[in-house]
Amino acid sequence: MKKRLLLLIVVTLLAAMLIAPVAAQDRPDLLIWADITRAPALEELLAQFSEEFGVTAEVQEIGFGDIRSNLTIAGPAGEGPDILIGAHDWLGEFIQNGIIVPIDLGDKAAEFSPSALDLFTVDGVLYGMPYAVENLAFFRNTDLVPDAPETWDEVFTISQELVDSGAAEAGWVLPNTASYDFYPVMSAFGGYVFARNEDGTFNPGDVGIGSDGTIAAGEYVKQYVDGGYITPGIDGDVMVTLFTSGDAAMMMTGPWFLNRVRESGVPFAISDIPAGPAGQGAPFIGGQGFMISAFSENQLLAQAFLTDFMATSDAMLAMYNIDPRPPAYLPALESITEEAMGQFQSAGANGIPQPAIPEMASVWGSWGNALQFIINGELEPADAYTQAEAQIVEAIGTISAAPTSVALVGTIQTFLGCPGDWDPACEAAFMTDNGDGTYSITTSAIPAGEYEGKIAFDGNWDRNFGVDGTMGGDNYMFTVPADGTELTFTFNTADNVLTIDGAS
Amino acid sequence: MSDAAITSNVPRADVGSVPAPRAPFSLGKTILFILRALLIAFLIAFALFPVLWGISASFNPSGSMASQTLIPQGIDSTEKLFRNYTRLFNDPQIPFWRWVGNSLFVAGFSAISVVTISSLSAYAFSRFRFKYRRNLLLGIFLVQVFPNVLAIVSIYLMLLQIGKYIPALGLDTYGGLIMIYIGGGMAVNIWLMKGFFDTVPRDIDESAMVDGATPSQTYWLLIFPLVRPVLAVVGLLAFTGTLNDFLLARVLLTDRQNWTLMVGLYSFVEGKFSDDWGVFAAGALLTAIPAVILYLFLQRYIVSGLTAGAVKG
Amino acid sequence: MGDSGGSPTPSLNLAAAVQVVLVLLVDAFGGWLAFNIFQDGNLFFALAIVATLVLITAIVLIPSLWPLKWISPALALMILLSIYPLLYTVYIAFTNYSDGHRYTKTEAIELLGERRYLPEGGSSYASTLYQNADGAFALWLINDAGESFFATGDGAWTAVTGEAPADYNGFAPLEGGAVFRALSAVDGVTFGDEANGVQVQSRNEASGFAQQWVYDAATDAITDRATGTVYVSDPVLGEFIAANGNPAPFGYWVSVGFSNFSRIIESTLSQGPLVRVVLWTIGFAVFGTLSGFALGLLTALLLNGSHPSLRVLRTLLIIPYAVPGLVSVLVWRGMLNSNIGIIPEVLTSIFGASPPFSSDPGWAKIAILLVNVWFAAPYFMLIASGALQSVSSSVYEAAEVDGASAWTSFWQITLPLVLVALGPLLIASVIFNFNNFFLMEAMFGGGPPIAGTSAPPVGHTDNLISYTYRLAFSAGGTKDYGLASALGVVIFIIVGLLTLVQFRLTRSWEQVSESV
Repeated sequence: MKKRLLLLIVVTLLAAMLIAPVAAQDRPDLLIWADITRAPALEELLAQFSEEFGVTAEVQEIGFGDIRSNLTIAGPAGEGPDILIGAHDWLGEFIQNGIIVPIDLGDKAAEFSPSALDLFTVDGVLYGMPYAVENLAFFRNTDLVPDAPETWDEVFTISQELVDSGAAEAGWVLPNTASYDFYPVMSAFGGYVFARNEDGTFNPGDVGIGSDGTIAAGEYVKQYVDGGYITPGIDGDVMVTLFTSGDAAMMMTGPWFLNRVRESGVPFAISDIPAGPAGQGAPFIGGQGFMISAFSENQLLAQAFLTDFMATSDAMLAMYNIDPRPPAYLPALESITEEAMGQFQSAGANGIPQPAIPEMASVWGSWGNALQFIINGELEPADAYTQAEAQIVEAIGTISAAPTSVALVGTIQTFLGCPGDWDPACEAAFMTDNGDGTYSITTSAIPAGEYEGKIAFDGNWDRNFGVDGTMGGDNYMFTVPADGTELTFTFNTADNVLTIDGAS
Repeated sequence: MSDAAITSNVPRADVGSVPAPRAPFSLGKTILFILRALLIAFLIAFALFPVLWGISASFNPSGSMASQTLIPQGIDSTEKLFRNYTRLFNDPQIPFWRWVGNSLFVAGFSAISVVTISSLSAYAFSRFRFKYRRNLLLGIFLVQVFPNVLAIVSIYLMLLQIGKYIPALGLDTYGGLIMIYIGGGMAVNIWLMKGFFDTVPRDIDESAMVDGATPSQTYWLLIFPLVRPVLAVVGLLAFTGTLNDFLLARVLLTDRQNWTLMVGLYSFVEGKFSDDWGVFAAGALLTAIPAVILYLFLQRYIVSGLTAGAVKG
Repeated sequence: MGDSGGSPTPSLNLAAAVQVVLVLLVDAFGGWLAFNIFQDGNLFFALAIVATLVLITAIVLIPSLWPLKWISPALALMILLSIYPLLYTVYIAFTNYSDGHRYTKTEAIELLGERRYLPEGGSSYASTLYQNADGAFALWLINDAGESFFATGDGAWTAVTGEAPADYNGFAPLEGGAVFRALSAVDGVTFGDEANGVQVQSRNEASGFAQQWVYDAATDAITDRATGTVYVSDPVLGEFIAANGNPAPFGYWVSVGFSNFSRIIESTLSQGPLVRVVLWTIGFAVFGTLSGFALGLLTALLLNGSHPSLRVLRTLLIIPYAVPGLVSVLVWRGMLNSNIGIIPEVLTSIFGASPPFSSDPGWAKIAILLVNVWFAAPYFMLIASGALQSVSSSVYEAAEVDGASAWTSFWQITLPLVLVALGPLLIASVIFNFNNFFLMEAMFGGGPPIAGTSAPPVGHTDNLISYTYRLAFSAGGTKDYGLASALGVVIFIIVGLLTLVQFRLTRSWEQVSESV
């Protein structure tokens, strides 16, 4: 009997070995990960590339989201691709893990839309070759709404008329847990997600989900809820279903639902985002592009493939044809006559890049929930967004708790009586709490010279602030004109900015 | 155990059903019968209505899962009606039959292995008395209670390692995938089978052992035929579970040609703004067919009661 | 029979010998595998394989362990596929393995070391790749000033004048596809002498790159030579930290003791709604299982029999189980949607109003339980109809003689006997539902949200797993596997204790069956 048992194990193993496909195929020179939509176009392009240059190349089809999650496992294990297609907002995670390498587009950079390149640029370094940009635009059913509404107030009036007269079940609809979809409304009322630094980067220390503008946008939506024009239970799919069945007159969506709207036969037109008190509504701009894996053995070839083969009108148009989204490659964009693409572009002309910083992951859930509270009638807009901001700030771990200590750290610390410089735990460098949200320290012990400094909370480096109040930002540089000058350093916890009186 | 033998055994076949075997009044019997029929009708409606809804979605050319009506609207030609199915069968990008073949192979092989390996363990736990038997049994159960948040990462790395030295059990092989599936639900299967084995009267194998049969002879000749219902149940559960899995398979199978059907179908809807729900629904409903056919075939083992017959005989 | 202390039949010497040989073969092969895996640096996995081998060998060679032979295939698979990942998770729970800390220190240093930069004063050239008959590569370079050079891979750097030659010391320029094919061979290779070393930057450019990140073991610090900043390794945080507090692009993972666990305790203490989450988790686990079991058993009883029509009905009822779960959840979601769903539509036309399934906490829970019953009932019908067969009809006949009614015989005979067979299954099902992440996430994404909570956001239909998933993988912006593993361990302890309690409660069942 035991014989039979052991035999069984052996037979099972053998059978699995014999029948299973053996994975040890030769690895091609170039391996690309792409999702089901884009893989077929790339397969054809790669066949051309192989033929032309004698390099073996293959596409491996992976689900779009799986590209992101699998890469972080497969890449370091040596099983990853050389090139992958991904969204620009993956950059934060990838860079944090050193998974992708910078791309050098050389002369070709001039042929890409600058705003698309911005999406893939982090700290001044380009990490991807963009191929498509996308954003929301305003859709209307032209039978019900012949002219494009200019302002959100108009949208509300039209919605009211349509529903009250029974011409449509709903006027303008948006998903109940909208965050990305809500941003264009929010921005028209002056709301924001993260404040932007002068160089255009986002400052995770300044969250605008609880700002007055966002709350005003919430109040705007509340009018619909109070009048019964927007009801609970709408998600993205339901929104499009309502629009394509003619039940809803207006919505915002992107190029990804264009085909579905077209096929429904509903007469529609695309226009810019309506304006609010703070001006024209701005959508988030997102981008998709090619990135090169840091674990690729063939980074030079990957780069040459991208700059010399993919960055051409033919290749970019092939990608466009299989999945129509406005190309980031200008020569390809110019040759496209499709009207809708121009309309999306126009709607996105004032758009801002969707933040790709890792902190953004903490925003989506709370941000979307706030709108749900408003639509379910559970909270007032002010409460909903104030609470959401509190959650986000806590999750990001920035200024949530009052600091236990605020230390002035830098090259001046020894003069303040510290054992060494750059020591966030040195009590001699702790600033005094003025009780009004500011902390300060005054000294005249610093000799003339050039210095660098920063602010650190809690006696450690977990929360430290540099120029412009940016968390983990650059050092403040200052010059003390003469020995014995009285200097006052004041740190304001409202914006985390340090001001220095007496030095330049 | 021919069909005739089963049907001739009517009183036993009704065992456990609600109508009492000796209901004295025919009126009560009728009411009970009507009640039973109504209940069954309700259950069937409850079970099948969402399925019909899914079928309707699979004929919906607009690719939405939020299908509004039972009869898909906006269909003016057979081309539109069968668009999702046509695409599934004819799109050169979708090696549908290959995926079906892969799925059936993986699911079939896993199910047979699961049944074999688990039943041997269950027999030992049910019939042999050895030290720490209960602890081992409990241990096996506890180990699989663990919410394995990192399982996929560690399993991926494990297969990668094994694959370096045993290519047939590495990543992107059915060997590796099947191995993971067999290990997956082992504890539950062993417990399910042991529970069933325990209900098989011990005098059957004890008398055989007295007659000089070895444990393996006892198992294969006496016990095995008696426990076929539970083997069929476990086999069916393993088969269906494997057929419908995509979480593991999509990480472990990389080559498109090697994908199972669910992995292939899932790729249509995985993207954030995917628009291919119709194709997904069409394929997913077809996935249910093999399991249903298998159940139809295995039902005679599951429901028609061989244990009781054997006891009587 | 009991423990007879060894194989009951003595005439199996040949078989025994075959077994020993087979075991030795398996050991040899497994040992080779474990050794190789150990050499690859994967100590834990190698140990798991060795443990499996020792176990199998012991079972085969020690006669008194013969009953375990029957269990050995299951045990072997279990060690490799359950226990090893379990221990691995426990191990990760004590580390800071997360985004930004995904590599070992050595790997992190190596990965940073691969980065290169153009030092100040370094030159860039337009370049042409050359190759000679031996396959060696060389570069023809032109700098911004228009001067040209010829650099070879073996250290020669020659200033040359004039146009790029068609032949230079046996080297000929590469063209077209040959350039592309050569790129992988010249990737990272330095051409020219020490003073003028260049690396290929692209198909037609080369630059005097240098390694950007250099690690110094003596000071345990890594220097970014592009800025000159020195980042000192902090073995407690697993980071390289500069004097101004800024960390290097990424750190490495280190053991952090119990800090993941103390974070869990802190964040659970600060979470008011955690009690709600736990109650819903347990409530769903228990009610979800009981309702599915009740309906499944009812169905099995109603349809027990061999009439062909019953066979057809049973097959129809199994369909919900056979349809992939993802598609069913999506269909249910659509059907329950208050804007376009058929169920609210029908309810409204009958009662004039319909419950808000997705936005009301109570109704959302009811909707989830409803969908769960739909999923679970066929599963229980399947195993219950199998188990019903074990209820020998002679028991019923005896009961009938005693004059028991159908109702009594159900409660006193059918149910206890079915429970004997299904008891552990019910426990397993409770556990499965306790950890049911899929249904919670797929139905309403945990929603509707609970107002006024601290981070991360929690919903009314979040269970422990979906809540912790959010805590570890989306709040804070990084995927924190260390925290997730620690949560896994905590939940395991809770669920494990629950399981033990349930087994204690059901211990009597097995004794009942053993006396049958």
